[in-house]
Amino acid sequence: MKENYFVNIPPQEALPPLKKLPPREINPLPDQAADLEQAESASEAPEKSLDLMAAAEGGMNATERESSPEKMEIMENARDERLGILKNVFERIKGPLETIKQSAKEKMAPLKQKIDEHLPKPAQEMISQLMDASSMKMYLEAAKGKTVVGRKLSPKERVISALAGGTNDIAKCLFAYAASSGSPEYAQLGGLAYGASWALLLAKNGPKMFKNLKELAGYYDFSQASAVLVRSEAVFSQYGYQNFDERFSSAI
Amino acid sequence: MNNMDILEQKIRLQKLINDLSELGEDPEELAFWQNFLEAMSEEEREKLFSNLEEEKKKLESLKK
Repeated sequence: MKENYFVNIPPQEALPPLKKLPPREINPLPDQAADLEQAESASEAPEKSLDLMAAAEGGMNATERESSPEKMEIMENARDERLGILKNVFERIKGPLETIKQSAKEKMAPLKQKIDEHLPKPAQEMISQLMDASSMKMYLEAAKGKTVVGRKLSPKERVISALAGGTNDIAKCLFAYAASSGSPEYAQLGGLAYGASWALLLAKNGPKMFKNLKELAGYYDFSQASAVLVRSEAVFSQYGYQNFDERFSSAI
Repeated sequence: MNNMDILEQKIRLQKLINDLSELGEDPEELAFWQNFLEAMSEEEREKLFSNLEEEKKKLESLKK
């Protein structure tokens, strides 16, 4: 029996509250800055910097990490296992996703100019980055632990890459479905998924993505960024996304 | 699967995420599994829960 993965979503407010995370700082925190300064002036600077980076990857700080190699091993093994689960999910859903993406790409090509007229440049760049047709392949390769610019990805980087790719592709499907069916709840879920993938891609891709997001925030309130994409999907809908829900259903 | 099943699973996952974060795990990575739960099959979800529960058990045993 075919299963639609995007139905029966419970209301978010019914869930227990997520733990509040400390706000992300662009600049190093005072103690990290002091560590970095010290490291830069000492001969072991590269080693120290690498350690700070590695420590920043997990939930533990550098001291805890050094004193708990056993703990680190447990966490890394668990993450590797979770990555295996994730790969299974992607392998199962990537076929239908690729079909949908291909259909969407064909439909969208003649609409690009219309979309450009509706969106500021940073938003266009952002969408272009997020909608790269080869992203799924790249993310799956990253998930398999292949090297990126000569460096092997850490377990956390692999999980982040795979999650970003998967979340992003799911968001695209939700937006496409919302646009074709006129069901706003799918667009809201798409917005949430996009938000999650943006956060991941921002963490992974750094300055360029951040610059685009900041510029984007100049045009729209940051919290409304997903609404920009909903609007772009509305443009798709207006110019020819009819019957997409039928293709979506048959693909799934 | 009905709404209640998935809601219960999300609550179960959130509790595990909170517990593992207390034990030093990265809450950001774990939180993203909440977003992903909908796309997973029942079998995959069970594997995830088993993985997280096993990790929790191992980390707790280190504390003793």
